[in-house]
Amino acid sequence: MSNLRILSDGVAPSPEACPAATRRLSSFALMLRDTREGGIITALAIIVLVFSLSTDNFWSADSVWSILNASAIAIAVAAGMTAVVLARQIDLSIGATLGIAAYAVGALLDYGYHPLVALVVSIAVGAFLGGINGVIVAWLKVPAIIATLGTATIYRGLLFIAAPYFLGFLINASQIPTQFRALSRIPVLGVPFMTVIAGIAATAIGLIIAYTPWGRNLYALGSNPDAARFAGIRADRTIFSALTLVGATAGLGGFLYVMRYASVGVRAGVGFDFEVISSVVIGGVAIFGGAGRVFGAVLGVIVLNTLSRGFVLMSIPEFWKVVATGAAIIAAVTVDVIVARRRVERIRLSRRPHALMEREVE
Amino acid sequence: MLDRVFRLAGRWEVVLLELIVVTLIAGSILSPFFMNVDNLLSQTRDSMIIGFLALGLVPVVIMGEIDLSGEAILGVCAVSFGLLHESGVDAWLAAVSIVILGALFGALNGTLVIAFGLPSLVVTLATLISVRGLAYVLVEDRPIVGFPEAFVAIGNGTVGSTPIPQSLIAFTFAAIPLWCTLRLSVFGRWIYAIGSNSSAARLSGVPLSLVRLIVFIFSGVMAGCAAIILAAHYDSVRADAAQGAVLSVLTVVLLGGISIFGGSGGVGGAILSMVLVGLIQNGMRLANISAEPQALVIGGLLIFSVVIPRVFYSFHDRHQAKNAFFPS
Repeated sequence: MSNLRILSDGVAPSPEACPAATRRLSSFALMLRDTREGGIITALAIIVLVFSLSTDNFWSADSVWSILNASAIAIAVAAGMTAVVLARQIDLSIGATLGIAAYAVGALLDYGYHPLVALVVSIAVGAFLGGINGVIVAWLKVPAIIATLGTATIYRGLLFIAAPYFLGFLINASQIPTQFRALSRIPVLGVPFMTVIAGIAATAIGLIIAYTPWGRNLYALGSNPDAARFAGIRADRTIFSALTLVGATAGLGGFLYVMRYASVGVRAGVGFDFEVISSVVIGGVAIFGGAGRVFGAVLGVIVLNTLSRGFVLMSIPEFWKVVATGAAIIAAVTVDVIVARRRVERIRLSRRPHALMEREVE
Repeated sequence: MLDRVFRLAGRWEVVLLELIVVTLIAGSILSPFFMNVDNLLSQTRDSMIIGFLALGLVPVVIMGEIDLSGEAILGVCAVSFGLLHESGVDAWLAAVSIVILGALFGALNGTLVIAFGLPSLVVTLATLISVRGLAYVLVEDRPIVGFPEAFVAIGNGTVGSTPIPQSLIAFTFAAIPLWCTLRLSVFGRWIYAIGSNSSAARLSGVPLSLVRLIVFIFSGVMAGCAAIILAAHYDSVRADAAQGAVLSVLTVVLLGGISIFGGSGGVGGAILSMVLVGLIQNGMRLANISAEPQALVIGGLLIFSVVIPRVFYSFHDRHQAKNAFFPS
């Protein structure tokens, strides 16, 4: 709360000056202005408003269901990606990791294993592949963007080489048990089952990032890696574990992928990296680390999928969504930089009251 | 004398030359078609698209920035070329206009980086996504084919009766000025200065924003040139032109000894590594290896190209540090 007071130009509205309702409203407005998720909430509200005015059936239950259904996989992975981006890293290999995990799930189900076995294996495979990234980035000191761009092609190439020895390039719906396919369509309080799984994973990761020392280390490393190192934070271990975590979530994503599409090709998850990174950045996680929350990243996923759904309803070609995504990233990052500059300025002024006066004289 | 030989052998360019020789020998043992002149020339034509993109990326990486959007700018330029051609614009005029278009997209990247102080990684990742989307918006899945013969010759023809591909000449005309600029001009030194230490460069009077802007524009121009070569080489353009080329381009540049952290490397290394990567890809194609496993090898090279110099120099530095403390 004291933070907010500094941020609002050093002048806190006195409680007795305004009635309770206005106060609540203004504190909501302050929240929108001063939290990192404010921008994305506003954007979501505008998008929903525009779509509900310009299409007839945007508010149907079917629409909400399909947005939640489409968001599930990305929600799970975006939560893991938040940890990575917070520590000033990036992972472009999650699409390939998801592909391998999804293929493994499809193969295990076809061989007749229990879905829970497939779930555990998919997460383990994902964590293992993420761990390889972690070793390359944390100990071989290869910049994450280079390392994961490289491993993305390596993982994808290995899947192409290995697939013919298992079930071929495509595992189709007839090879996946029908009960498993039906799972994704079970509603839990109106939310698709797979979105519930993803939501639980994202909540757990969000809590871990917000409330554990490990999560604090991520923020510290992202804000100032040198200072974090001097404070005794083991950068290599933290980065390794963050990349392992995002790998594990990509593994879970692979499991959800099979649940959703009931078929796996060797190209499963191509282009998924960009989708997740876009969501995370749009959701207010600073791309150079140190700020942001899982909550924002999840909102980012929902915004992109709402946009997608709206475009379908307005029959705008899917390609425009891609253009809009890129523009949204730039907008999000630009706003972030501008807001950060202003915030620094405001804090500087509030600490030096005479500077505030000087500015008024000017 | 011996000392000088060792120092020369330790240079990254020489290591690349050795690797090229090894690849040539290995390739000619594995396939009788490998050392064929026609094969090598057709490989040269294939490499030129990556080559132009890599030339554009070289000064950007030396400056300590990165530009992932080259392939997308190529895509939108190629598609615009097709559309201009369809609407009856002269091919040469269209070629000039798409180079200007490339410059504009480069300027967009540069402006976003300079004006808002955004990290180039994010800006160019965003333009990579949205500019490619724009290419799809322009033509969707439709290919555009059938360009004039004289234009197609840029990508496939040779100079007169010699076996030298025209595109190689075009590449040389781009590479030599770049080499001269980086090695011989003040502007080139500025690029290295920014890459080594941008605040020190600013304090010593380097016009930081101007240099950055020009370098990003140059990258866009090279993407436009690559689009011309691509359109001429395949005699057709599609929205997915050169999609995924960012991997090969980055590999060529980083394997060429240009540090991802900026401030070192040059055009020579990049060209050598372009030859090396081209030879490896060519060999794999002859061995009938499909696209994804090929990409696997290139991805591995990419990681190694960052790890190996680091290991190389850390031994080097340790050796020097020891000498500093215990002078012999």
